[in-house]
Order: sequence, then C-alpha cells, then structure tokens
Amino acid sequence: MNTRPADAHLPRAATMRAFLEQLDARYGGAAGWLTANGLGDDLGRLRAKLAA
Amino acid sequence: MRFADCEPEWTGDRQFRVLLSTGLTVTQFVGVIPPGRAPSHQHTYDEVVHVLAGAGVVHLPAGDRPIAQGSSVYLAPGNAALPGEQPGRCRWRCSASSIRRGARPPRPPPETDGRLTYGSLTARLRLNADDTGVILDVRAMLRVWGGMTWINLDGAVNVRDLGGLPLTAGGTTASGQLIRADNLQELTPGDVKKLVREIGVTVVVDLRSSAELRAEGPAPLEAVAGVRHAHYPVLPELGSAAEVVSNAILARSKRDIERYPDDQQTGHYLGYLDERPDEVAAAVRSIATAGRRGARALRGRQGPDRGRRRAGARRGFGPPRGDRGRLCGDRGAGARDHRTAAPDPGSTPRT
Repeated sequence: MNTRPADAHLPRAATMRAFLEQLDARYGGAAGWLTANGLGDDLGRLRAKLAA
Repeated sequence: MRFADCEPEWTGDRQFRVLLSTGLTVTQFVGVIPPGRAPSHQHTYDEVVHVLAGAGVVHLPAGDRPIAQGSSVYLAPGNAALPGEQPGRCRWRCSASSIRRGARPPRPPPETDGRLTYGSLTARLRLNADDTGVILDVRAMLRVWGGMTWINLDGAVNVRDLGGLPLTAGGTTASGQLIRADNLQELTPGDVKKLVREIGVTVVVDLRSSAELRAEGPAPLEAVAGVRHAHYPVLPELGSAAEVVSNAILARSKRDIERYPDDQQTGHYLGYLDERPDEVAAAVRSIATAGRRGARALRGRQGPDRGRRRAGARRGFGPPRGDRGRLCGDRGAGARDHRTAAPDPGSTPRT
C-alpha cells in the first residue's frame, strides 16, 4: 500500500456517496446492517448517544 | 462560566481569554488588543467579531467603514485578513467578497444584547468592558470545517470531534461523544491529558491489524487507568509472512474491485462489512456501551477517505485502513476534503 500514489489516499466524496448508496441498497442502511449483525437492541442507545 | 475565571493567554501584547471551546463547534474568546499593528494573516474558519468597546475602521476595497462598540463583522474563511492596528485605532482589513459574495451566505450577525446565534447554538455573554486599550469582544470564532471540531494535538493528526453534523431529522450529531483520530502512538503527555481529562475519552476503538499493533507496541493512552482499549481489526488478519501478506493483499484488491467495479475504494469499504462483520459490529457496540464520562476516540490509520471514515464512524462503522499518510497533517486540505465529502444535510444520517 505504501507504493500507491499520494492521490490514492485522498478522500473522495463520490466514493463516500457510493458507499452509502450501496449500504442502503445491500443492507437497508446502517440500521439495517447493524440489526442484521446483532445490534438491533443497541440502535436506540446509539441514537441517544450520538444525536444531539 | 465567568469571564474572570478564564485564564488570560498572550500573543505578543494581545491578551485573549478563551470562554468556550472544548467540546463545542465554536471557539469563543475575548481579546484585548492594545494600539499597535500585527502582520496580516488569514483564518481557515469563519469568524464573527463584535466590538465591545473602542472604535476603529474596517478597511474594505469598497471603502473604509467605521466600527465602534456594538459593531459586528463577519469574516469568511480564507480571504479575510485579521485586523492590524495603528496607535489609537482598531484597524481591520478584509475582503468585501468575504462578506458579500462568500461561497456560503454570511452567518446571522451577533445580536448586540450579548447573545449570538449560530445554527442551533446560542452563546450568551455578560462581559464588563475593560477601559484599557481597545477591547474586542470576539463573540465567536467559528471553526466549522464540515461542521466538525478539530482537536489540536501535538502527537496525532486529523483528530476531530464528530459532533455538529446535520441530521436528516433535524438537529446535529452530539459533540463530545465520538472522536475520530489517526494513529495515536505518538501522543504527548499533554495530548493524553487533553483527551482524557478535558474531553473525557473512556474507550479507544483500535481498528488496526494485530500485526500492526505488535509492531508498534503499547500506545500512551493504553497506560491510562480508566481508558479501555478495544481492538477490532477491520481487515482480515494476514499475519506477517511477507509473501503471504503480499498475495493476500492482491487477492483482496481483486475482491474489492469485484465487489464494486465502479470504485475500488467503495468496494474496499464494503469489504469491511462483508468480510469482517463481527469486528465492525463489536466496534460499534463498544461505542454504544461506552461510559458516560465523555467521548471515545476511534483509532485508525492515517490515510484516504477521511470523509467516509467520519460518516462511517458516525453510522457505526469503523474507520477504513490506509497507509500512514502524508496528507493528513495538511489541515487546509483536510478542511476542503471534509466539505466535499460531507453528505448533504438532506441525505445524511439515517442510523
């Protein structure tokens, strides 16, 4: 990975958007993925903690 | 919070007292600027200045504007130079475009009754003017790079509080709850104190590989009582045999492309979920169950995709891997990156 050009390390908005779209499409969003992976009971706690 | 309780700090002969900063998306301070002149310089954040006492002139390309007690000036990032003073006067230099034609509309000006509203944040102040020199009440110095607060540390870069990001349903993410950071191996004692005592970090979620962890050895925060170290490597563990690692990385790269051909990096992130679901879930759980004292630092590698790392962390996914980067120390680039990478307010969190 150290041989990758510096540009490869730059964050790209398009990459992020695509990831979030795929997260929705494949897993029903973050909540969907977390629920499928055993964190359904933690969602409320996460929301309470992370949302102002 | 009382003005008199805030310790004065000095920059040359200028005195500043920071009133609000830690855990907020704004820094608010009161500055006493005696007659004199400072070299022009620029800020990377928005700034709103309110003159508490004294008088002076704002120098704009369109002409000079007098300012005096009660005046407020908004300075956009980048193209606004801070005031320099001449004896007996307070002089400011800023570009008219920073006020009139900024990329973003000027913030609402501070109200003169000692209350400033910025987004959902309202700060109130009751201050007594000191009649020595010119007193500027800088009601808010807004550090709003993508809505987040940068945390300045000597031994780590790209450390940000993930609070202050807009939520689809209204409101913002909470400040002081989740911090993202690059490698924390080099934290100074001062950094540790800031993270643990001031910000209140209770859990460090470490997403590095086990081989990396062994190679780098114990990190300063691990020695701190009351801070839990939660290690959940988000990439498949490859061991340390060079040839095996090399082949595995090639194979992984191929899988990343297959997973999402349009953008390998997107495929790479999706790979965390596909290939390491238990680790990602455990990392999220450690955030959900962390103590109430304060925030937790996500410890990742420096590298690409900080925007995704931020949003990913907020959504409960660990930061992606990357190399120890040369780019992350560049705060200017970081600021731009976060803006472009920040999801639109209307499409942000659904967690």
